[in-house]
Amino acid sequence: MPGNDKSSFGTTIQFSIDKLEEQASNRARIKLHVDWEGKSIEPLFHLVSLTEEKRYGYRHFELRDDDGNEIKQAYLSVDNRIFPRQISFNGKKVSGGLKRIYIDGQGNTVERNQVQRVDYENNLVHRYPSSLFNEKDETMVHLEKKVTMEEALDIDVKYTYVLFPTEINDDDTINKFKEILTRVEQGQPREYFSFLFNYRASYSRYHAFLQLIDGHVYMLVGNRNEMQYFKQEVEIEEVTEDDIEDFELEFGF
Amino acid sequence: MMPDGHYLQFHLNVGKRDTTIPLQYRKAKNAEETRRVVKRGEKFSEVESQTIAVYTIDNPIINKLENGEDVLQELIDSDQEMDIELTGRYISYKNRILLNEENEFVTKYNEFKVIENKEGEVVAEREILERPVGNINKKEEPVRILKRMKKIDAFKKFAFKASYYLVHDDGLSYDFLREIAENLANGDEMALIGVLQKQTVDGKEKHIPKRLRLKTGAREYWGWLEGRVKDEEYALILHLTAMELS
Repeated sequence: MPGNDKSSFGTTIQFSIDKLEEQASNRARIKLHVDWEGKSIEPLFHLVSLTEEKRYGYRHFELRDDDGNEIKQAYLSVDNRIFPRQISFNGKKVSGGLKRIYIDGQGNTVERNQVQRVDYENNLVHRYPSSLFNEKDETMVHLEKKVTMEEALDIDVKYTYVLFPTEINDDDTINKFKEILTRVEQGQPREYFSFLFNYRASYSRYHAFLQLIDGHVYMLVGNRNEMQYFKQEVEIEEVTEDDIEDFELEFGF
Repeated sequence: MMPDGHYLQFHLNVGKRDTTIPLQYRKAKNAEETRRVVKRGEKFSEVESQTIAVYTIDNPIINKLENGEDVLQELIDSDQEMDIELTGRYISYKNRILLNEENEFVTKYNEFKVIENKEGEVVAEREILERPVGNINKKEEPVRILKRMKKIDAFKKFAFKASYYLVHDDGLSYDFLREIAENLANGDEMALIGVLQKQTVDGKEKHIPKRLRLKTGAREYWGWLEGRVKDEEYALILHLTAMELS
């Protein structure tokens, strides 16, 4: 229901999907690549995040005294020193009087650019480059893998993006791409293109999938759950003659 | 047999059945998970994260900062000595406290929920008079199925943020949950669940659907049940959502 003021939750929508398009032109871009019926299609999209705050309003909690003055949070150490939790600077809240640092086994400080991560087998883990498009190395996401609706539902969505076509696409490319998404979804079973995604260069990547909703391409990003089924465990202990003999012997003492 | 990792109980009413069900959190994972942080070039030289002190509320420079100051220039001009006893000290234990504008301890306060629009204008403000309590395990107001929807419609309509398994702890609850899962799976449907709260509206007692609040102090979500069945096994998944996609 783009443009409607009331959501199906009964709350007021502050921001409809159509309005997101107005923000698109200066946003990050993602280039997708899909091979379909012998042709390669590479649409380039702007990526605009859709958040609960944009949809329903920005929400925060404030503590005030009886006169309405704001109360601030701070930390108290064991030696009675008080550290501000946040300070205001240039109109923004920035972190306060405590800082987290890395130290080595000898207690020396280690700069953040001097650390690396290793996996469970002690192999060095390298940062994955960002999935976003940059003109220098023409980064693109290859759409090869598809997931079923159930597999997509196994992803707990952390970030939602709406993809708006950039000006360099021709209409045919975008229409063809939307048609591909529709045909994949209408198959048996329903499927959705899925890929690994990270907004910034990172040591880990999120799972993402594409959906076409009301003519807009949505990218939903999150962590994936392992599927687990439950069964009834019936444990009936059969009593054998040997058990009865043992039982009688024990009783005899 | 009680399943591992559950800590929430769910009082569910469907048809004539009414029972308490344990919830098991589904821990979603990244595509890759790293385990340890080490010094660059030294595979086994593990480093650890520590909290250190930088400055306190008594620091005159920090308390002066407001807008656009050149922090370095302020430091040079003030010729301030570093507190070598404090700066860089490990802080292993700390308590969170509240202070007023004069940096005095505060124990009595009022809590407000403020909603702003995109332009930063306050559109709603409400004082929180009492801590909202969890509402999923009340016998007098059990969680009920409010509405059913085709799975594809719910999937396209909502962003599902977190999920739990509803799990059985005896033979009766196995039958109950498996039946719900099978019913939803066969109908290719999902079920919206919530709590029907008794409220008096215009002098009449009405049942108003309320969202699920899993724990006291936690936020509210709408819950959707999805059922999957594989031979004798089942999965009844509670998906939580707070945002519509379209």
